[in-house]
Amino acid sequence: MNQKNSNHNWEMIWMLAKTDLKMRYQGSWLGIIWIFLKPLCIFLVLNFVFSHLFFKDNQNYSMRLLLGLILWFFFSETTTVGMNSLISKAGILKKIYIPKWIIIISATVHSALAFFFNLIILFLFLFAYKIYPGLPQILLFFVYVILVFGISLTFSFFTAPLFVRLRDLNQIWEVLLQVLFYASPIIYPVSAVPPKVQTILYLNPMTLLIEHSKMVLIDNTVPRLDHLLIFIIIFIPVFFASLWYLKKSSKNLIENM
Amino acid sequence: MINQDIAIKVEHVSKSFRIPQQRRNTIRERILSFSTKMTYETFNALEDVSFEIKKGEFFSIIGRNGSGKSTLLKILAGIYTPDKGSIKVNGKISPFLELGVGFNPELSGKDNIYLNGTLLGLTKKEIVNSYDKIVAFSELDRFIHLKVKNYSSGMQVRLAFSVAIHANKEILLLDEVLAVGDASFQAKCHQVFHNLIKSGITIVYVSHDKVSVQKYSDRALYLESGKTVFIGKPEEALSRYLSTDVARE
Repeated sequence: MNQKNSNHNWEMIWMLAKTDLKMRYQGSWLGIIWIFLKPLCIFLVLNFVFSHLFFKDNQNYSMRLLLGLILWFFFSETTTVGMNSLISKAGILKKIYIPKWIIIISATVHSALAFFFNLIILFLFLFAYKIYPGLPQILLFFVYVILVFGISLTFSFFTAPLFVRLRDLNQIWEVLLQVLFYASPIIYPVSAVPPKVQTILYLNPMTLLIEHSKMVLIDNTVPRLDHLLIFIIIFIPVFFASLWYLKKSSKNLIENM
Repeated sequence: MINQDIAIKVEHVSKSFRIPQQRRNTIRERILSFSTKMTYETFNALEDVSFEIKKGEFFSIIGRNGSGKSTLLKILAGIYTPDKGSIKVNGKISPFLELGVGFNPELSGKDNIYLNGTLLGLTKKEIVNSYDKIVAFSELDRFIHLKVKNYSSGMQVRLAFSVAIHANKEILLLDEVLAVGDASFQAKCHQVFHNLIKSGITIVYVSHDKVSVQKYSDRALYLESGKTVFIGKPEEALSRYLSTDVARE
């Protein structure tokens, strides 16, 4: 009984996600290729500007930039669609009972898929540049990836119900994402900023995840694991708090839509 | 645990909606009107409603527009949470409130069967198994690969109804969904309806249609501005409802 229920939940997530995917790319000339094209174009622009102007001496700058960008897109897209997910499915939610987390997770399927396609491109580039990260490094990288997804979901669980009541949230988040983009070590390494500012940068959860990802995949080193541990120790209670908040705020959500 | 013979038990359920006199959904509105106090109008949609529905019973809910019928169904379906009181449901409930939930006009009829079926609680395997029956019942086999936006409204309803009746559930919540399609399809729907009743399924039915309420109901609940006026024999519920209705006019 329970087994059947949880299977059905995943079927529902996949069904909703599949419909979203079909809608997104139908009638589009290049279709699914946009998943690669969008980040690649932005990468080319940033790479052209920054690798020539500011970071000429930085070894493998382009690869660091590409890696940072891919992780960043994963974060920004997941949080954006996650936040909008409940509102955009208001038509269904008003007529049928569906657990809210199902709607939120199904909305993030597209960005997760896009991320994995982009990852393939990244690894092809890495091999072309003769960068071969070791197995422990790759495993660590996937821990970071799971954490990026984890913080994005946590954010969505908080903001998706909040967005129903406060419709400015998407505008605020759009601006904040711009700020966070420059506050994350994507186009520059953390070492390029003064130590005092570094501390502030680490308040942004993406800083650690992006910086450590660069260390494992491109420098093939093992970053400080105690920092990762602290990160996880903070992350887990916040994640459960977001689940609790979603459950609590679901109570009077539908009539406010 | 509730008695096994009871399908739905509703105890002292109340639900009110706060209707703000002016909406403040954005921060600007909130800041600008920070000093003036937010005023709400409270609308009591349901007040202290209690009843039990036995398994296999056909239970009708009647009342004027705005009497709380739909709110009650939405609470039974789990869409709304009651402010006070409790709901106990014994068995799988099918939210039949509206036909074709989640129907996407840009998708084909086939895709919509899968989408709508999944939302109604069917597993993929169950949909695959009853797919042919659903299509046959809807009489749309020639158009099933066509996008639903190209369907006539009658065709859309036929498709939706066909999916809905194949969502095998123990309790059905019906909100005036019987009058669909042309005369011959309606006759087919009534046939299905008869079979459902005979098969011992529990049905909660909301309607203005006196004929069907009288014909099918075992018991009826008459609601008036969120309060229970009468529960019991459908004839009496109907006559009370009709007399107050006439008195008002």
